[in-house]
Amino acid sequence: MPCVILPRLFAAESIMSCLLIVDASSSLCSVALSRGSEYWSLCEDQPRRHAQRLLPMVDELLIRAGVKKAELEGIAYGRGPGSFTGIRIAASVLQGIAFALELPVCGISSLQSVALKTLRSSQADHVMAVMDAHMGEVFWGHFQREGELCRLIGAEHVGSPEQCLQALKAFDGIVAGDGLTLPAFASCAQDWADVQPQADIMLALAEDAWQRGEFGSVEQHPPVYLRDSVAWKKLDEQPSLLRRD
Amino acid sequence: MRVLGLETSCDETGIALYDSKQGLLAHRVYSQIALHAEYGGVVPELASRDHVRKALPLIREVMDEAGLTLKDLDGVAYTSGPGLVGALLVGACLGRSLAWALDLPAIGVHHMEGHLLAPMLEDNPPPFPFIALLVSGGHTQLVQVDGIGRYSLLGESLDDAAGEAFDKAAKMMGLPYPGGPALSALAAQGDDKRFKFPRPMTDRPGLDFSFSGLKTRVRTTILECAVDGVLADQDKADISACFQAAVVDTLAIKCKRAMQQTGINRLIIAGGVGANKRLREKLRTTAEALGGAVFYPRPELCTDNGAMIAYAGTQRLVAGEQSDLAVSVVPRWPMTSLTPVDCVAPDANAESGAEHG
Repeated sequence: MPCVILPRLFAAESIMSCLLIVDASSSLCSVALSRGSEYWSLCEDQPRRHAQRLLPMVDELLIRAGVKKAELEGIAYGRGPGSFTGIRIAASVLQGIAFALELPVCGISSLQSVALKTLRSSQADHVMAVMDAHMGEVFWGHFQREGELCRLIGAEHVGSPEQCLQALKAFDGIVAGDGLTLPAFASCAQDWADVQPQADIMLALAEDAWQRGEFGSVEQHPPVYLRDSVAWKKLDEQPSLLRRD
Repeated sequence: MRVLGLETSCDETGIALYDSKQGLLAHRVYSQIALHAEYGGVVPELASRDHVRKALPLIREVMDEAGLTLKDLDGVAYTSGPGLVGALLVGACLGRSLAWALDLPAIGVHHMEGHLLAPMLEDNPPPFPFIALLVSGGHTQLVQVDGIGRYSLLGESLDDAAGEAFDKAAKMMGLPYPGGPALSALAAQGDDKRFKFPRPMTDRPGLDFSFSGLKTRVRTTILECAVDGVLADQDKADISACFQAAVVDTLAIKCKRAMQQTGINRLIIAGGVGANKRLREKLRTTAEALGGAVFYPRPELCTDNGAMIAYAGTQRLVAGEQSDLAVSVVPRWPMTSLTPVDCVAPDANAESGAEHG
């Protein structure tokens, strides 16, 4: 499993803070930590093993960074969209730690993470982040470069690949994310198809949110599923032995 | 030892605080019944989402009710199976990370062990050994309990759980969700002798159950009685009464057989169906006829709750068991694989804690 610890210096003007971020919104399981101008991260490809790995990775990261739990000032998580179960694993781990250590929290968009990672490796100013939403659908969002970061243009969406392709007709920029691996996107360039949400990228977004005062309560930062319908028939759509009034 | 318990295995968020000396300090349950009502059954994805919303506020409420802070905790217990994986993961990840952040030991608890030990939370707990009838929407089991973690499975349902059969029979008659309690309420107005419903698998040796045939009989009876797709209210009540009597009789016959077979005359009832009054009454007379006694928790501790998880977790934490940081949940988990531990009981002389639930 790939495992990376990369100390890196942030821009000098950053407000000093000590933030932890956890993400399990894709097949990757990743954690990142900042303290002042230093940062550390761990990332593993752990499909279906996020619950087993996330907390041990948090523990390992803090130990290896020499950061004590009491030093943490805030905690963020990949709030989705993405794997529903993964988002909940990250949300639950975040809730436990935040409640115990009395930390403010923040949810970071997984689509924005995909976009920012792509922008950091390219000259483009616009990215359409497209993630596989399963059940034949994709999540997508249009992001525009803004300084070192990026911002969402419009809203994040869930829908059919055809709906996404429709949105791409008027789009001029890079398309990135694992949604590109769906057959409907075969005619699109696949250069950025392997970009996934990752905690180390999200850390920059969390730092920005921290500086903007956007950290808050757990209730203020719920998971973002985008898809709110369930493939479950309501009672009046189910077969009935008796006549319905 | 003071332990916070989290239960999120299905459609109830249960949180409780148990103290090995003072007993149950506080407990809260949030039921998702209204959320699943329009589907007529538990929708796993919706259940998981709701646990994420409700678990933490309930923990705060329980701590406030007990007048304690997180610094007063000595451990955290959470249900780690069996149950719905997505739902289990919420409580398990929350509980495990809370314990990690507080530097406390944590333990994943077997949901059915929680149910089985729920009567130990009452003032007059049964001494070991005893026979346990676990009846809920997901399980129907007869277990011989020789101590904590000393379980022998005597029999179980080969198909539908008793509670599941109740819910399905109710659904066929168009009764409101959740069907089991609605069917029981209707049964009180019905004639339980009008239809001859079978007592499945009672005419042969053994302690296993089967309720799917009974469900089929309900279906055919409904079709025979219905006129133009409409079932008269009295027909519904009579079918409900006959169905309930058949399930209760079947459970009682097997419980009696289990007590005779093992020579143990103490019987406990646990699980959601254990709140059924007719079942309680029938099993009381069954046990008394054998010179024994029946024990059951108050109705709110029959259904899923955090108190039973806090209790079972305390027993295992006191014995030195712990779960590591890798959170594992187990959708299917034989109770007989659990390890035995000694039981710690509240000190009768200790000051009582906060008011019970």
